[in-house]
Amino acid sequence: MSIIALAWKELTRRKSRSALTVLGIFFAVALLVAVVAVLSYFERVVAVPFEAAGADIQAETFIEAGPWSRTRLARNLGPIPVSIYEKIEALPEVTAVGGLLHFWDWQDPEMLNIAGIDPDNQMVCPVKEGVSLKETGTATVSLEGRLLTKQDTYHALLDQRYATRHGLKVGGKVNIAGREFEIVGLADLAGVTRVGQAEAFIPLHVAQEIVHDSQPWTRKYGDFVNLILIKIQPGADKEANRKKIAAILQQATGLDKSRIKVLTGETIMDQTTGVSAVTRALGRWIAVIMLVGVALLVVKASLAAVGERTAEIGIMKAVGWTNRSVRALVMWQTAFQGLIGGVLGLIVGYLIAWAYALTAKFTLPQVLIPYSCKPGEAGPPPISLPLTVSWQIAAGAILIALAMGVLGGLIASRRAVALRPAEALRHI
Amino acid sequence: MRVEIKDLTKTYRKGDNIIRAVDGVSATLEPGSFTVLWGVSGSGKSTLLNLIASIDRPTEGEILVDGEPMSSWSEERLTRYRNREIGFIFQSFYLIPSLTVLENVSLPLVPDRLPASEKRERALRALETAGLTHRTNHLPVELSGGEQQRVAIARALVNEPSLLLADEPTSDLDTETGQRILALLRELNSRGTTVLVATHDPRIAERPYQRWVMQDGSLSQS
Repeated sequence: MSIIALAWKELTRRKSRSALTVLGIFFAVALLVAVVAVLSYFERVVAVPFEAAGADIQAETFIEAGPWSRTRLARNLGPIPVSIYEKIEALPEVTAVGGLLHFWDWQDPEMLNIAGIDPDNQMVCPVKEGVSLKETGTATVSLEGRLLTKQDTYHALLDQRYATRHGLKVGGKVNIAGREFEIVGLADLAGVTRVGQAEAFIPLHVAQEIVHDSQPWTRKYGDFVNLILIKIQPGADKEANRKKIAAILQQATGLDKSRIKVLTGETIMDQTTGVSAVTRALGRWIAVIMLVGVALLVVKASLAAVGERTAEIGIMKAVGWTNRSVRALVMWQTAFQGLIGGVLGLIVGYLIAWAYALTAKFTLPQVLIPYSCKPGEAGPPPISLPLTVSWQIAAGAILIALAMGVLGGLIASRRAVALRPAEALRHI
Repeated sequence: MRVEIKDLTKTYRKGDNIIRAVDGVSATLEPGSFTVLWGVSGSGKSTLLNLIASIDRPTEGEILVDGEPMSSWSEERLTRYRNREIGFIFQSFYLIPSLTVLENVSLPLVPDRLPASEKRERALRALETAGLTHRTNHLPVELSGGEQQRVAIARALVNEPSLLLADEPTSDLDTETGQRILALLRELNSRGTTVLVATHDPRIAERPYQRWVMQDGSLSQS
């Protein structure tokens, strides 16, 4: 028999005491894992729409609503000259900049959401080649037909949902702003809503031409977009870059701060998930407080267990067990309790988070996606992501549970090793 | 192993009184000897055995083991002495109730880095010596007093100690069982193990062994 086997045997012998400690660790870890997994799920929910477009930051400006016309700039998004790209690209942590021109076309009885995209800029774009988000657990863009190329003019790429609704197929025609476009491809964008998403994508220069015609006041902006997507280096400070880009935008457009929106996943977390930063912080704190409480419980339970076993520890020392062996026995026992509680807590915590994710449906706030969302119209698809198990959270939870067990064992074993054999044997 | 006891004293505080459980005892255990430590209950026999086994520490005096003063030993050395050189048969057996006979006997071997098969083999050998191989998987509560005593003896023997200390090994046992236990100790002694038996049983004390008599903490030899 080894010390480990003896520790396990002792654990199963004192079932009620062991169960109490295991249960405490289980509850604390389950709560912690559920909170952390849901919060990390929220982070994914707001990060994926950016990732799907290859961006980290979205920038836009707002102007006063102009006179109504069939074709108009989406959601009063203000024109931004593409010359601003250079200034943003000059920021040391920015790796790519791209823009879209979003506009609406009234097609009785619904509004068509159109985005002019630059086929030359595949780095940051809502529909791009080779987008594979499998590693993040989100859908891959599947394409029927092809993407737009720089040779395209009156060619369109449609969201498959829109095409299906209107019986449109690759090779067919679609009317946008009174012009006929050849449908070159259908993209399945339903898997994940992405920033800059639209129902029809056309070449940027054609989009500019349409908007210039329908809103002649935009001609003064020449080559312009109304939504900019920015990619920064991995690990770079998004918030710092967000602020710098906002400053550039303000300087370039001369608009008031309130008319400039530069967004990252974090800035839309509250609006998208419906859970405020205060609630999220509260959840974290409750989990931490529970952890501390349970750690104290484990210490107390371990001390009580050592107290109950004083006589046995006395026998062990009398037959020549070293202090190290006694400490190892106590610590293995509490480590087992930590491990069992941790594994069970991890499973149940993830089940809770998974059940939440299964029913949760989030919609990107309008500020992020320039869809026309009048009642009765088809809006952007909701974000419905599967919950993925993070090995970092799993390993962290098991380590915390083990640490709680080991801490309890460490403190309790100090009392155990301090016992002199003769003193301990008097407890028999 | 030669154990030399020099002016050994152990005192306890009981309320305002100081009890001299062992009072200036000097004696020598020669290697291979069989000694009976006789005395009535409370005369200090168990305390003296505990001191020799390093389970307790003396207030004054010294114990020399093969000439080495025990007081100079580190905690680790004392532990090794208890584990490897001493076999202690406790008066109340001190078996762990949740462990089987085999596990109780293996207890001194648990911290050793021996293969499990060797630990088992050694425990079975000790149980064979104690005549209890048919009860290996029983719990102590399922055994008679004599059988529990044999388990305690097997545990004391499992590390093949050179000094066997037995505290009242025949108390609470019927005459026949007591005789068997005594015969077993005698047999172990004949194989070279030094044996010191503390008892108040006159049946043992009457036998022609080297005899130490304890009275009120003091020792006389006969």
